[in-house]
Amino acid sequence: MIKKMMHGNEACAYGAIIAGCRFFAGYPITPSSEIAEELAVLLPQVEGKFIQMEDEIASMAAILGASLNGIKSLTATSGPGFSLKQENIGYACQTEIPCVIVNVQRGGPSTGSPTMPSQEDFMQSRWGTHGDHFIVVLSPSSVQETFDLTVKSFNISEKYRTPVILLMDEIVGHMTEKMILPEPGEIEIIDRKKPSVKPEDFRPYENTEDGVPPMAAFGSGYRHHVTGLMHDETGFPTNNSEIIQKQKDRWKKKFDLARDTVVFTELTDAEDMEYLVFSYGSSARCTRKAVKIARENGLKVGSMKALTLWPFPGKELEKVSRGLKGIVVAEMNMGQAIREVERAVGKNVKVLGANRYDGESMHPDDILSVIEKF
Amino acid sequence: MGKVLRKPKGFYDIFFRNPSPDKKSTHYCPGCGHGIVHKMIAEAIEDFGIAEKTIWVSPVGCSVFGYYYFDCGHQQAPHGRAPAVATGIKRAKPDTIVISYQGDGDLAAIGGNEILHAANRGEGISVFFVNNSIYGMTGGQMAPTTLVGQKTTTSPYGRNPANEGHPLRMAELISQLEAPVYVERVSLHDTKNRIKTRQAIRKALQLQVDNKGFSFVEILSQCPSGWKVSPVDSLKWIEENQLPYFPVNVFKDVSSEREKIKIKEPLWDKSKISQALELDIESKSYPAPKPLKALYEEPRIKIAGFGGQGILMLGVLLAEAAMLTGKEVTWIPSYGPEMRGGTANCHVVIKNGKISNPSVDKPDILIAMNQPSLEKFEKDVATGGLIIIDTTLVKKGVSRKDVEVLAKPFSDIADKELKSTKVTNSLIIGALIGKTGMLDKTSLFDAFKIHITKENLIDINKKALEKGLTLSQ
Repeated sequence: MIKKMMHGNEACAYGAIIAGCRFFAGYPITPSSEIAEELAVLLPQVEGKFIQMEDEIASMAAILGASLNGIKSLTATSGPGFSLKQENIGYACQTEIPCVIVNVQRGGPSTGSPTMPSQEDFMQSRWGTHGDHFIVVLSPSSVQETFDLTVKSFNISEKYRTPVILLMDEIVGHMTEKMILPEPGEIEIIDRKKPSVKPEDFRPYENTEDGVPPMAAFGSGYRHHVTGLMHDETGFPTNNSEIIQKQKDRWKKKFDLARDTVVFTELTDAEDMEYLVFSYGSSARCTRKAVKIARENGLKVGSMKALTLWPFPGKELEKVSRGLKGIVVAEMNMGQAIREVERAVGKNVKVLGANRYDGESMHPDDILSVIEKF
Repeated sequence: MGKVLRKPKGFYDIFFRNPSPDKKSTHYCPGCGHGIVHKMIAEAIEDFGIAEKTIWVSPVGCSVFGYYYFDCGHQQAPHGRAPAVATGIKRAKPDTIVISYQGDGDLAAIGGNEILHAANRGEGISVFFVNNSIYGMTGGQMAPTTLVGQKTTTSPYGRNPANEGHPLRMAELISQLEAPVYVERVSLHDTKNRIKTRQAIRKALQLQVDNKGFSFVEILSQCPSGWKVSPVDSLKWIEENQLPYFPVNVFKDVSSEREKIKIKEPLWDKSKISQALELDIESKSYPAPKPLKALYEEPRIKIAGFGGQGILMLGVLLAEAAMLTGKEVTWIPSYGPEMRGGTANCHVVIKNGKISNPSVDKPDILIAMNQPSLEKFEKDVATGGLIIIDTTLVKKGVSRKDVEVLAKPFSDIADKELKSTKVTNSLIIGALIGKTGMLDKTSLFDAFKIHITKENLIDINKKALEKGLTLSQ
């Protein structure tokens, strides 16, 4: 264990190496470029592969290929690049390829505000690619959390055979702070389960009890087929509606069973709270400050920080919302998570948004002024 | 006579994946060239004994169903992305044999970027590019390789270069690049050319077995359905229409000059990983800081000026030194879209416990290195706080009376006494810690070692810091 001073993007690169990532493909884009730059230095030192690809689409495609060949893989991007990656993120969902996609958010749409903080991709991270699908989205609020959640992202992606989005924001990516780095071996690292059956009996999309089929690397003796078309348990395309529904139901089962193990939240000052501030990413840092000031002014305010954005922690929120006088949803966008909060708590509690979308970071006053409105 | 005709072992014996009742024939239309190319590749897979480690990357197009036939690993890539996916597969495990099999729409239109860059990087894959000058699967639309004057459903008046451009000669294009080892165009229109096609396919695969790099075989192939001619006439169609524009030729072959690519396995050795991440450095203890005021125990600092003045580095050095001393720290930069020039400021928070808000709206200490910065942030400084200004650049001084001020011509002193304005920031650090006692100089000297990459500059920065200590009053 060692303490270091580093920025969030660097911590993400370190987390990837510790998690066992040995392949990165990406394309330079502010404010995520430092992740690529750091991995360009680190990966060759552990005989990993770093490639700067021709564009965002190809970098996402390359990490799919690498993961299928049994190597944990990462790509990192921001706003417009995240939009380009959606084609192959959908492919990863359809084919259940473990991989991690980092999106260091910037304001949008389009080229938007490349160097300014934003949390405008809350919804896109869940629904960016077309079609019904499931995905896990984690969001750190500090450099330490960026490291921890990068490792968790890989673990979740491997355990459940799913792409995981690490949704950072510019402040967390570029903020430098002290963090504690564990030695390799000090933290839990999960690898995908491999088939134990004979190659001829291998079904790469088998409906297992936990909904997670074992995964064989190409070239490991298990010849199989991976396709973006709807497929049956063997991995080969099908137009059989009964089988299509079964596969999709298995996805749902897999994520229903996984749900409680991938949803992380932190509740503070909750014992006597009358108001709750819900936030994530760098807004959660500002929320802590706002809660402190509010309490100094005699207001009973607590906070919930969501480290997992999808699956949305609605259950956790609903449980603590009963009897509250109000909930503030603090986010750097025009109101995205607030829709999910309202859905979770129903009509029983008044919900108001504290929104900042001018490219500046959230200020405690932005939150305090909303609490006054209840 | 006496030779038994059979399917090559690279194929499944029975095409059981094919949903059609006929499990012995391919799904391709009568007279189509794909079946012939498939057979040649299947034979090579069998002869080279590589089925176990072969991964067939299918395109979107008629040959999307390659998995009906080939007994090996398969991935069907999104439209045009086959070379990018193949890149990942090959780099993750370089001893696998990766075949990217693509048609002309997939490779030359939507996937134009992917093929160009995979070739340019010299990925160790074999690309088989079947060029039939048309979109087959979607029903005969214009391809990038459709010939001038050729009628398709989307060029019903014939391809007109003024409107649709000229057909793309992919083999010629790829052969211009430095990295590819072997680029050839072959054709299926007669027996002599089919023999050459077979040789080209085998050569491309052999080069991959030998780890020689990227090879590209373009195959002129017939599409009687798309061209709306009979299978027999389709062979003549290649000869009369495709060949004059797409000549068969070896455009590049540097296989004899190329060294084998060396293959390395990923490292999982814990000590090597620790070394790479620099986790093996020993921690050190520093003299405890002696802050002269309670305010300097856990200061919130804003540093502002022009880009290029070392503003961001000043903040980094303070944060690093504080962290080495055992404090919690945060540092955030703020600058315009440009990385160089323009205005810059950064926020540093130093605390004993966890830091909630890393952005500094009301600094305890403001370091203003130009006039606009002082004017913009002076009003925000906490009562009893400290403002440090560089009077070389800040001519109009501090107007507030409820703060302490340390005003010195730092840039001038750096220029005259240390012969470099680049160490102005270290000079200011010296003055700051002298004034506040917030950090011990030894921790800053170590911070220099971590962040100043040019070793010869460390000494002059140390000297500047020492000089700064004398400017603290």
